[in-house]
Amino acid sequence: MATTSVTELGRVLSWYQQMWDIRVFEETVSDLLGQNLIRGASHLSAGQEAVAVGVMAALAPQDLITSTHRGHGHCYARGMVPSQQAAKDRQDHLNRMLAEVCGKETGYCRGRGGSMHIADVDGGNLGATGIVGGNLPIAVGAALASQLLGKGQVVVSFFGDGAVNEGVFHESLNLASIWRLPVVFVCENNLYAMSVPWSYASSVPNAADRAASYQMPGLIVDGMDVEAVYEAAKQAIDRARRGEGPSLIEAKTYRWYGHSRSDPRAYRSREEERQWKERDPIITLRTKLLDRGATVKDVDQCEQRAREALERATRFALYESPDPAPEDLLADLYAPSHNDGGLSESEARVKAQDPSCRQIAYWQAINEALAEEMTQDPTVILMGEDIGVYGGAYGATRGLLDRFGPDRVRDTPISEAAIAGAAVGAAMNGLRPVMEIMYVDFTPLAMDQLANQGAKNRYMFGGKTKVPMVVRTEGGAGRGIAAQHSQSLEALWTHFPGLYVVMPSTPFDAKGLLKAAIRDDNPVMFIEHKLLYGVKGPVPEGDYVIPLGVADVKREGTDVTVITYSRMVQKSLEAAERLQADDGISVEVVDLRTLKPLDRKAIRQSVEKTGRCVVVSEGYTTSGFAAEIMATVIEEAFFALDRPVVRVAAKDVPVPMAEPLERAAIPQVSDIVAAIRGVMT
Amino acid sequence: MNYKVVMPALGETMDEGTIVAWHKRPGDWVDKGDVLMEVMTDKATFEVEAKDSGYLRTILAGVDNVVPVGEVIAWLADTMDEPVDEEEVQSASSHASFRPSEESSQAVLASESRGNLADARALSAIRVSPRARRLLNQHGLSLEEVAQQFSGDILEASDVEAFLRAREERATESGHNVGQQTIKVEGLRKIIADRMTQAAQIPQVTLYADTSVETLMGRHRLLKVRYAEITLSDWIVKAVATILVKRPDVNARYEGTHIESYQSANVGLAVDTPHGLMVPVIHHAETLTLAEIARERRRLIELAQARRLGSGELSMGTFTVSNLGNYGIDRFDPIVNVPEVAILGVGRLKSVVVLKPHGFLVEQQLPLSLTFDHRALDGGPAATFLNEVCRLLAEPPEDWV
Ligand SMILES: Cc1ncc(C[n+]2csc(CCOP(=O)(O)OP(=O)(O)O)c2C)c(N)n1
Ligand SMILES: [Mg+2]
Repeated sequence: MATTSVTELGRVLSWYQQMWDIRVFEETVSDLLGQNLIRGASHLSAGQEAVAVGVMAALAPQDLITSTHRGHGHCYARGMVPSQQAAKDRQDHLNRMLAEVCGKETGYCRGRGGSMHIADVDGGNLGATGIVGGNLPIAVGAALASQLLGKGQVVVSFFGDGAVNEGVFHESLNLASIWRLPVVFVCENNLYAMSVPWSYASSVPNAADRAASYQMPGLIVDGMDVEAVYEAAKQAIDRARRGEGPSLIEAKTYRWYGHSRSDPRAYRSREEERQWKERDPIITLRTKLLDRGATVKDVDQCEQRAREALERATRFALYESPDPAPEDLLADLYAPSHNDGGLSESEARVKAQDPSCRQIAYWQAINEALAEEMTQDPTVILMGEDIGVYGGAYGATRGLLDRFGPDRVRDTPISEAAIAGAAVGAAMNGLRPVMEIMYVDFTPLAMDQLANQGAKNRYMFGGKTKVPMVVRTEGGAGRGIAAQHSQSLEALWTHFPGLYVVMPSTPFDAKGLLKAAIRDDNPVMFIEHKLLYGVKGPVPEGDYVIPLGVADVKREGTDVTVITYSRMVQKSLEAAERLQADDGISVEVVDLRTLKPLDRKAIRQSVEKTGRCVVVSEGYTTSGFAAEIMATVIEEAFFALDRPVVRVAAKDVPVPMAEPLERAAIPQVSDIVAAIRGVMT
Repeated sequence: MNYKVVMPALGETMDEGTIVAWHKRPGDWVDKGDVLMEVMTDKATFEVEAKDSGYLRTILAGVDNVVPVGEVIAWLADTMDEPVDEEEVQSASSHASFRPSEESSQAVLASESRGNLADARALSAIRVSPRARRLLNQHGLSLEEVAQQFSGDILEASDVEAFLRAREERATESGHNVGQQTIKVEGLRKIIADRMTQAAQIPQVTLYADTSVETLMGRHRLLKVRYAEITLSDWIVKAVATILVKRPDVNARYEGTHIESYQSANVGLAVDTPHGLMVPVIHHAETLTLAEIARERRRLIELAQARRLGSGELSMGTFTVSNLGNYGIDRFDPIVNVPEVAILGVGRLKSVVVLKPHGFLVEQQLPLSLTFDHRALDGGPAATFLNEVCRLLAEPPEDWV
């Protein structure tokens, strides 16, 4: 255990006040829950106050934290760190916290997050996650941004003992360690993850023991002693700030309440609870304060002040705060788009149509977009597996390491979740990361980080943050690499609110769209196609962007509309040629380019014109994106239809390796031709 | 178990009805209360609901067939395979009284009633694309007419366009005048034409009188503050109804061999709709307050506009009011709405300078014209009736408001 040193009395007294504030806050929430005045889950941190208060006492104003489902104490104590500007008004802070728990518009997250996501993201708290372990890689990414941008911030990541057995814990500690990032991992070991005891769930006696695997200090501290926590945190934070890398602190502590309100606490004995309560961090500190000369009045006033403040906060939250308006449901889901110069698409298209325009391959167009963006914006960095010396699995990052150096072109360990989480955290702290996942088939390994954190952080935290990042990945079949390297999984990603999904089909589109994606302030899933990298086309030199959410008619026609994207655009164009030649059928090919936001107008306009529609997608048939397009056609243009909408999509089977089988599994030109003939006869 | 579907009686004057559409196809399951078909009578088109549940096994009367009230037009059955009463089917389908309506008889001249049945089936077998349906609606075409020149299974927009082109060519060929448009006399137009021809044959006389509505308009303006929907027509209905119940000779219907007099006033209102003239009836108008009359009138007009008036709403009128004042018409001679005995025409409100004991005054007057069937009523009683109406409108009782 860390040693305690006597700190200035007044300062410790203020910690004592903070601990009382948290304690009474939790009592108040428990009381309101009991009266059914609050809905949803609330995980209370009474008993653990010394950890939040002790760690926060060691923070500098610019430092950041990430928090958890049991985050009221973190939120409160982070708000009480004296900032460079005026200190937060304590009453206002409690008001806005309680209002958030009550789901009010005046809450820190405008009622979008509630108890589980309570955080003042403007105030140095990158957010509370409801996913156990979900915020560890985000802290790592924020620390990376701090390091690269020279911000001097240390990032403290709080998590429970349950998180220590999540894979992402290991990926994150490893990544922080190899990059020597200024991050401090604080495990609040309250002995239980919901009902399961740490001693049962873990192979080592202490969470701190895990630090050894990652070559970082692992400190164990008495989490019921605020001064001890402070001392340990201070050591770790100072070390991080000196550039010596991350530490893991394990604070042994105990929660007074059950896991949540529905927990009868059958897994622990009342005797065990009594023993821990004898070590109540508030009582312990009271005794110490009195020993050191504080008056009874000074000390007792703290509880009184806490009760008064919470009474006022309750009045504010319940009776003086409006509910959020349903009209604002979608507000702040996406950061607004902005136009940052460069040629417009139509200007660039004129250049591309000039016969003298150079022809470059799809991979080169991507490479050029990355290089141009990195040149014009120093906050753009690349990270991913084998993107450095190797140049990316499909060569798209070739040469960039030499041009921009290893700080900005970062090879990563094979840790998809940590890469994605780090990108999210870095984006929230000032970088514009472009991360690469080698195959879209591997994106499910990063799903939580992208779908639950990156996509939602802006909305969940009341619009106070933005996550400007791009996930570059590639998909598609045709190379005989079978079931786990050939899929088209875009439908997984279009499903989540908060993410955009882009799938370019030509070099021209790839360059303009990637630049737009990098400049956009939202997380964008940019899915390339492995068989398109070699395809050449005209691409103007220099800066141009293609706005997200605008489809492109790749071929005009009058008889039937084909709606498609990515490589299926090429196949559909071939089918259209053949039908024109053989049957005199005039096919219009609409390339969506961006699946989300979806260009509903372009879909409507084309189907209104032709009255017939075939949807072509390389994704699986069932619940694939083709189904979404079909639904959109019905919504937008039902009365324009002469025939039912038809889809040509991949068979519902893992993509097989053998060529005849692979060809049978994914749409071929002949399938598209047959489907079009079907709606024409 | 089998259930007959018979041509229902949809009004007291109805003795036959034309099937305009089937909402179910043979083989469909029909729930009691589902709309089974649409029937056109001499008054309106009605949606007819199934009285039993079952599979629609056989349709005996296809679209455009004219069927006497009470005849079997279809069979429902509990199951799809039990035998339906074949004998009935046979005899019903060969029933002489099933004839195609005049309009379609030209198109389907050669076919017998069984042939029409086949037509009805064929029609329900055609699938119409949403795009084609939109085009049909835009051009006010019925599937029936387009289907006559269509042999495929799926009717698409291009087929409707082809039909329109062909029709246009025919019109240019036959018409010397390029702008000419041909509208068939059918449906409601035909009903109106027949009824008017009938009415024009009776001896009728029109009387004119203008009545002062100074007092009435004053009250009306006050009342409108509370009941915005009240119009001048409602005052007229109220006044007419009040007098009618005292005048059984006018509140009557001429039924050829006898005259039926009524104690209660069922006042019909001539309503102009996009489909043509309709006369929905405000029943027992003498028992209603002005506001109630206004509400009922509004409801009836809305139904009439949507062509959703039921038979009850169209039947048993004892007198009719036709108000063309809103259309800027000064005065006109209405035609009696047979078999009713009289009809009141209302012209445009006008301001007139009148000499009163204290000098000249400007007064608002309402021009009224009463047309009556001289077979049932003589000039004297008709004149006193009009006079009483005028007096009541000039001095409406306080308790009306
Ligand atoms: C990934 C994930 N798995 C499971 C859960 C359900 N869950 C919520 S909190 C919790 C226990 C977490 O225990 P710990 O990390 O020790 O935190 P504590 O609740 O003790 O503060 C569980 C299982 C979750 N929210 N996220
Ligand atoms: Mg725990």
